[in-house]
Amino acid sequence: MERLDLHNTRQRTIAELRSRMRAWERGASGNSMDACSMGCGALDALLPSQGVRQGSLVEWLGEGGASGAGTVSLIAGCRVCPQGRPLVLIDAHHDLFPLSLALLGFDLSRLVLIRPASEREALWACEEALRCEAVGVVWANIERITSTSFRRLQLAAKGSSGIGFLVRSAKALQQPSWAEIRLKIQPRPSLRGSLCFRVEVVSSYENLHHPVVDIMIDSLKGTLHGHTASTHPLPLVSRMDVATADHRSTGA
Amino acid sequence: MRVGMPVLEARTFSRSQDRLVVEAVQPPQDRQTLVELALRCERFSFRIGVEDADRPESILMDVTGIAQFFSGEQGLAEELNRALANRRYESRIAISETVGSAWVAAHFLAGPQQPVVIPAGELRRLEPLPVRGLRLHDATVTKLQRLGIQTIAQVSALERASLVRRFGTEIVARLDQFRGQQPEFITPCHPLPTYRAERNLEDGICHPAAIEQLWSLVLRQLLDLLIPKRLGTRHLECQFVLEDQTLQPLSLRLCEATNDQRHITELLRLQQERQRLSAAVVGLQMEALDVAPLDPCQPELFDRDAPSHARQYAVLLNRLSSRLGEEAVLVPCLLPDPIPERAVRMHGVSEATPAGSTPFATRFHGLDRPTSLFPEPRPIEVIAGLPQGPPAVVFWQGTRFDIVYAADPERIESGWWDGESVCRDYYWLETTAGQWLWVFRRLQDHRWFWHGEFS
Repeated sequence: MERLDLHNTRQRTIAELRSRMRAWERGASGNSMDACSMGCGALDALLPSQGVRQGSLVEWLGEGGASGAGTVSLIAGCRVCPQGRPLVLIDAHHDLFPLSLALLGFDLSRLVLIRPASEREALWACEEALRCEAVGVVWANIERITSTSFRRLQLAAKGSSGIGFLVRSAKALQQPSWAEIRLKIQPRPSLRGSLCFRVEVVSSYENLHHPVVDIMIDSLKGTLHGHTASTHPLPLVSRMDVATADHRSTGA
Repeated sequence: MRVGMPVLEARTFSRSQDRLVVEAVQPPQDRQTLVELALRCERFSFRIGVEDADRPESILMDVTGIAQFFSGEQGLAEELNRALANRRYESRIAISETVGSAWVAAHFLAGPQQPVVIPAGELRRLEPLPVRGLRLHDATVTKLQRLGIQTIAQVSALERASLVRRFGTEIVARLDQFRGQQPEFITPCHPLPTYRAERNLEDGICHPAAIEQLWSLVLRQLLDLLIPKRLGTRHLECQFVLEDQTLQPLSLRLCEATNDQRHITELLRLQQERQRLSAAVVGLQMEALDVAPLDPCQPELFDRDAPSHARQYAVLLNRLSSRLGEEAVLVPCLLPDPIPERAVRMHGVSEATPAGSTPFATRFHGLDRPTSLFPEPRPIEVIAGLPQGPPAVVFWQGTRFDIVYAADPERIESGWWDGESVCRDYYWLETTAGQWLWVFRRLQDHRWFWHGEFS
């Protein structure tokens, strides 16, 4: 007869109760626990579900302009978006460049760009898009979001099992958030022409400590990779075209 | 004889015993006669119209599903030929899978008593025919012929991007229409029924709830005309008649035809929220302009979500366009232009499906262009390490960026035929903080501008 292990049973019970509480806090239903990969193992590992959970929001925070938060989140959003579903990009700053999006792998025929006149309109559009089950990913760069509005966005995402990526400045760290995870992006010195970033989890439902990973964007393919000193996804001599050609030109 | 020949020159063709009658060309009468002839041919087609040109010379007929009543397409063409011959018309008839290919076959393959039928999938048979068959402007045809391009096959073999650059979109659009890659619609010459409803009030109303009640009533009246015919509208035009005898328009464009009152009401409500009426409303006229049969929406047996997703997405786009304005909800389309600000054209979601993107070059890599391109380049001050070299320090509105790395320059310039000359050397600059800036030096005056960044 198998001996009853009280210690293990208690641990299992606590773990189960904890997961139920988390699910209750997040309002997660059974079928919305599917996680989508961002195409970068190191980045996925930061998230509690090893990927972006459907029906959740992810906040990307960057310090000032050219922080890379927008670029990293766009690449991740493109990979996360389920096959055949449209992407809705809410471009509150009116400066997203579709040619660059195409080079990063976006299918422009399944992309809608919304350029609202105000942040209020941007917030409304974001909520509407998140509420629509047909949309794969909603990406928005909205700076000011009140706690109530944030909760509405989270409920909209939860209701439709959609995914929302919100790009904001690091000042938003002082504000409350209903995102499942908040990631802070800091640019790092580039490596052989590839952009490098440090991604830090600044708040998460699961991780009480703040894990950090270094990632890089492959300058040729526009894909995300984990970056450590020992593992480099690119050959030692990358951008042979740049190395050999002193002067490139584009003309009609 | 040819069009545009002086009368005196034309008279030289006649013999002395001929009785010559000279009549002025009357394009409106020609068109009217063509329309009347088209209406007489209605038993051969459900949709028949005259070609869309300044001087139309062809009648276009959609014969999809008609041929079986005439023992095949050849039988249909012969019967039509007989009917026209009985009226003493000499015709050239061709049946093909696209309007463009039928046009070229009728003009260059068919004979007076020899109708031509091009079976589906055999458009290649038409490629050796003259390039004029693509319905191009005379100037374009002359230019092509000067380059030694005589046939459709020759023009098809040219690179699309190069064609657009040299000739604009005309040739590419006509080629796409010829192959059926771009839809071409026949505008029926039979007058279309109009769908409109209106209501006038004795006293003006200005309370939003009362106004909503008014347009709800008129909308119901309008939809009662569409619903029995299983028709929907894609463009609803409303005119509020105000007490000061002015009209205030409200236009609603939709992604797909619908007659769902609840959905249209919701969209009108969103539009009305943005509208300010300058006086009390004393009447309303509502007209459905773009009327089309409703798309059948039979659910899939296994993938039940698929049609509902398409519908939900269309509803979302309609709502966004109604509330934010059509200019705020956009679909990007790439153009083959190297100048960054001209490389993209934005279309409204309710516009007809734009032609596929034709980016300038496929040799670009993932990070060759910035994710953020400023609407206007920002003037910057720079300090360069070397004369004519890349910047070592950049100043913009009091902010200093120290540069640790500058990539080799990329020269971007416009063609001489584009009008405004653009010649720039673009640099990717990495700052000490790890930011990447896309700046350029304008070669005309050597001024520096910041044009984009990885946001």
